[in-house]
Amino acid sequence: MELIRTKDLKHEYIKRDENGEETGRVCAVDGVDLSVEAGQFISILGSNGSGKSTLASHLNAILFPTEGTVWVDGMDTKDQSNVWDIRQTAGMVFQNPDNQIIGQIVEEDVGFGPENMGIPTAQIWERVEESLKAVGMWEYRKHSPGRLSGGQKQRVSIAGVIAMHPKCIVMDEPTAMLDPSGRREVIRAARALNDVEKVTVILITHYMDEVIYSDKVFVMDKGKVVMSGTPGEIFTERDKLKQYRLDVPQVTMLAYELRKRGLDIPADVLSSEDLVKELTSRYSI
Amino acid sequence: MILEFKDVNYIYDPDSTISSVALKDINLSIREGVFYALIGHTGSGKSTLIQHMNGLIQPTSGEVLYKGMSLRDKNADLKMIRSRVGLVFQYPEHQLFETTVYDDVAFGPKNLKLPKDEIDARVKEALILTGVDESVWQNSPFELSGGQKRRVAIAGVLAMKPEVLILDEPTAGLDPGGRDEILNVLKRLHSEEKITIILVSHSMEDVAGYADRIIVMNKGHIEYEDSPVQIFRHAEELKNMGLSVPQVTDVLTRLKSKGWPVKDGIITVSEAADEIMRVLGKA
Repeated sequence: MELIRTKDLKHEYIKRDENGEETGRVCAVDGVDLSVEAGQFISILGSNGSGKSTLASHLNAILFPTEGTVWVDGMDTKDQSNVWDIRQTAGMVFQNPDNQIIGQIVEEDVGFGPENMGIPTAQIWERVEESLKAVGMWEYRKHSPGRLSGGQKQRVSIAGVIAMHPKCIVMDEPTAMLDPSGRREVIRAARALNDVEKVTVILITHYMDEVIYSDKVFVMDKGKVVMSGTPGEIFTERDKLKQYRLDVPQVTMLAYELRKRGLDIPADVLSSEDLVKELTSRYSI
Repeated sequence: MILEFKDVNYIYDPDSTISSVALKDINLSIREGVFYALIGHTGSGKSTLIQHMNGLIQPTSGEVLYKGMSLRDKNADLKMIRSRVGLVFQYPEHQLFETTVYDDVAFGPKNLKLPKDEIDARVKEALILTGVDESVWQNSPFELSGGQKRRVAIAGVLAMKPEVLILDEPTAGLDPGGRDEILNVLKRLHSEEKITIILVSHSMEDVAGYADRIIVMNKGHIEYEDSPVQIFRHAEELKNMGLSVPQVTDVLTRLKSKGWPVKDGIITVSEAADEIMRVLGKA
């Protein structure tokens, strides 16, 4: 089932001088056709300014198309009466965890969303419990968010979104400010939500090694989707990615260097486990 | 020795119920001309440590010395020291404010009351060193890309002619292209301008590729200070501290556990490729 679809989506930002006169327009999203199936794990890559965040903001009706249409679970985002339903369908997690947490204690923060939706109290507590358990933060439910690590805060933000039972969660660089273990925690939580809870995940990131588990990767450049495919298909196009100011995971790079030196291993190796498996099954010492 | 920490402790909000120890018994020597990386989990004390290096924070006990002079000393000229020990904060582009790129970089040297031609020379040099194209010098800094803005912010600190440049996660939030540009600027400042660099980073791959020495912080104290090759031998310990090793180091460790006689201490892609070819007898 198709959960999200964009057709000829364009978004223009209007630049103005101090008197409010228009001085120019920037087309941040320029004719994007995108289709996301329910239950998929999707990643979006692209350089700074390529339009990723603008595109993401269209998926839960923070921004509206200048031209074209966005449908979320069949609802047109341009129709004002759909806005609240769309935001409950597609939740959003942002880069800075400190800007997203409002509660004094963790469970209160996670309960805030469902409470706003008018969910009965008993059910709110059920949702808080299942959401915190889904991201592995249940034992911290009585803690103050201010004292948590970055990765823990970001998982609380994710729990706050899933407590609203969205069908889809859009994460805009959720790991940019985290240390390596914080990144691991957040990516693990996102994968678990997708695997176990069947929540559709759309992940925007600059870390190439975070997208290797996706069903599909989209690469954006200058407002357009310029590549799409499985992680294996995307990361074998190293030179093309460089042109778009992107990269490949370090392991894929190592596989590339080994192929260049004459070893017979596939080009689309994406993880340490896979590379070791390929090497030890093809070569013996 | 350009900077030295002697038994430094720092406690946030001492004498209160919320007091917390941020730095514990820090002893550290920063040598001139070395490229350091500073790694540690969130809250390990990295930012508190670097703010001690130019006297923004004074230790609760112990002392920090710049070229042998205590920053606590009444005669210590903190203004001069802050121009010598330049600090680039996280997301420094948020601190850009002038109407042109040129004026923003000139702000620091102007405050030093330098002659006009000296200011001009410093601004141009800093912008060239950071690879900011001359065509945008008269543009508003706010019209630049994320990576360009950040290089302008670094140029602003460079225009003060620092001997030590400390950068707190300068590549956070940048695309891989922007990340490589910043790291190459740092490499050039280190090798050509002989500036001592202290790079705070969460990317083990970047740290492995650029630093001469790595300082590892954990829960407010310094766990290790050593060469990258030595540091990344501690894979298990690093993982327990919320850190990791470069992906290629992980690959070789896994090969070793499968019985391949690979060497320890491999931290970059080309070394890893050479080593694998060597044990396969194909080198």
